[in-house]
Amino acid sequence: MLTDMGILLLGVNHRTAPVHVREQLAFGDTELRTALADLVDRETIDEALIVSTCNRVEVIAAGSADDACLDRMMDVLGWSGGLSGVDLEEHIYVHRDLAAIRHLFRVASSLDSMIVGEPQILGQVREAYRVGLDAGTVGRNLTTLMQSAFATAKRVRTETAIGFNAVSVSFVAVELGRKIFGALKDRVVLLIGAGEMAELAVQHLVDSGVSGVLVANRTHERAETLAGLHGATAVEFEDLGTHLVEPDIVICSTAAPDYVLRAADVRVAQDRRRNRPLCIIDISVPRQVDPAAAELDNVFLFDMDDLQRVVGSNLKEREREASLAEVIVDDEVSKYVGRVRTADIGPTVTELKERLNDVAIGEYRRLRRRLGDLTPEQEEAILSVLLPSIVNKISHPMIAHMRDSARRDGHADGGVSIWRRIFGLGGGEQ
Amino acid sequence: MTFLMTHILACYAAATVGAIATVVTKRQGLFTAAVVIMLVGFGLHSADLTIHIVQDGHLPLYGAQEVCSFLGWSLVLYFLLVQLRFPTHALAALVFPTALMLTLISAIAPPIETRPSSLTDDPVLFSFHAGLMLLAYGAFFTMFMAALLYMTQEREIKGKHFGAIFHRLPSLDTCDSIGFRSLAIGFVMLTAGIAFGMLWQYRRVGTLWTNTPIELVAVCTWLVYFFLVHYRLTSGWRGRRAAIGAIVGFGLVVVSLTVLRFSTGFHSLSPW
Repeated sequence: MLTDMGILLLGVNHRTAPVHVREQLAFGDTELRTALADLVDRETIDEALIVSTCNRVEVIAAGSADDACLDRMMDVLGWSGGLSGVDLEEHIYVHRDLAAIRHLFRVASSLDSMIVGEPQILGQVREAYRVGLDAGTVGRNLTTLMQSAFATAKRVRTETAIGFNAVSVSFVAVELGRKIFGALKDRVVLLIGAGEMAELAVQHLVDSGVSGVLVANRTHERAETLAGLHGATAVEFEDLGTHLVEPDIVICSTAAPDYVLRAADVRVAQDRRRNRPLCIIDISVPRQVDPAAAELDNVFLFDMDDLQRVVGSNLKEREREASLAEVIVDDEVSKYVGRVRTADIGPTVTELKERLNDVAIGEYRRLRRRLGDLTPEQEEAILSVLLPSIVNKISHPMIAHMRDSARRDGHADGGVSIWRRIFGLGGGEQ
Repeated sequence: MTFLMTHILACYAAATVGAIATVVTKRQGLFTAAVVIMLVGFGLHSADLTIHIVQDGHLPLYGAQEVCSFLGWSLVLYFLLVQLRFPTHALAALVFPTALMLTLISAIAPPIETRPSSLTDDPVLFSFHAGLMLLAYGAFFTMFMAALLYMTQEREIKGKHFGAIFHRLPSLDTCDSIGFRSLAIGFVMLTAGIAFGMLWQYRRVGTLWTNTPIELVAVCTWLVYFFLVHYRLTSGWRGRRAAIGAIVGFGLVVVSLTVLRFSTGFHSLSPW
């Protein structure tokens, strides 16, 4: 037997394999089901599931996993991309038991993600579990394991600040807006120009509660189209200065030979705005808003580099939180192992009690005649009260010992095999 | 130190540790715990003040010992009020240690045995005058702390330092709103406090104005806060300018308290 708890994990991720390998390995939905059915032979591999995302493909199996089934898992992994085990060798990692459990918990908690703390991975792991359940390849063992993984991920979310801060440039607009305006409710955003990133930023702001969106574009038709898209109002591009009175946040993404917003325009607008804070995010390269505008009171101007810097700092913050999350993962791994191992001694406990019970009843029947006349009530009391009570008293310290050593020791069968040998239970193996 | 005072200090100290730990670790659970402990301390502190009011027949605001205690209490009061609208971790980390320090000074300073007769003759007017003045000072103190937070956060944002401080301080709008609300409350209290002071003085000596240093400082303070309110409402003095105003105004509050410290007669805060 290769493993102790019968859990084997094999896979590739964004760190071990380049994208051209990962994209070959990714599974489609139907491929996934076929692969799972192929993998689970009910002899060496009892249960299996496959997590397949753009950054990782992992096969998790439970059973009496041995070397042969490692090869089969490798084949399944390479199957959808038509790659053989040899092609994959250099990209693959294999984790067994504790390491596999830990790895899975870290994946679900987004600690192994390319962007640590990103929330999608938990959903993807859940989906993998659901597909496994659907295909009938996930049973009791993997269910317990996956439930623990989900619980770990939830604890990491709630007990650390790992997912608090924005780590994409388009979402930083929301974070900066919040640091200036507090709640974004009732704020108005003006989009100057167009572009994927700028529009995404506006969308994030709208999702965060911004109440109005204005759109200005050099070609008015384009502004109208964009406005229709975001439920916004199109405004004239020509005299942008006059349109600066209403919005609180300006997102600028254009390409013009000269500044679209000059510092003087902003100063005039600020007077008319009665000095209300104005946050200008200029994601155009080269910049389209005069950097001198940043000197004005209550004007907060950010360019592309600033946004990148926020992302960088937030990533660092996440890494700090990740170290707290690792502690939670360790804690959950040992809890899970403790649970599984105490569950493991269950059958032995039952058999042991049955054995002791058989001995007690056997002896009673053998020596029954020596006890002389007993009323049926007395006989009933001996069989259903006295003997079970003696059996319980004798077996209790043994069971307590088993439970204890199962929880504490590194070996799954801990003291169990000794007890089984002493009492001759089921040939000494579980 | 009385039994009650020991417990108030214990609560304030525990809450201070909790508030600072909250800012460092950013754990909401810690913050809730700190605020609950502070609330208990505040309840005890209120009980302590009530006992004094019943014993003395007026607000316990004579001498530095009593003034410090009341000022500390009012800071906690404003903090708790602010919490209802703007839960702000960083403000707790400023207010709690300040309240702890003021209360600690009050606890270790020797109590004053004799009180001037003018105070016991008209306990109601004295209580209104001194109470409102100190509640105003508490509000301006809160405004000052919000202004410090504002200036620091603004410097981080404008300087593009998106680090630990940026992540831990509240939004500019939050600081500004706390500041403006404190200003409004403080200004009303200050105006009423000065009016009661003049009335009390008129009853005592028959004139509204006696040209003492403390009166001059009070009028200056009133003027500064009047202009802050005025420009806020008319020309949008918000954000940075309001924060600088809050810091200047609070400077005058400190001057007022210092003048009180060295005044003679019934305005005297001595002996320490």
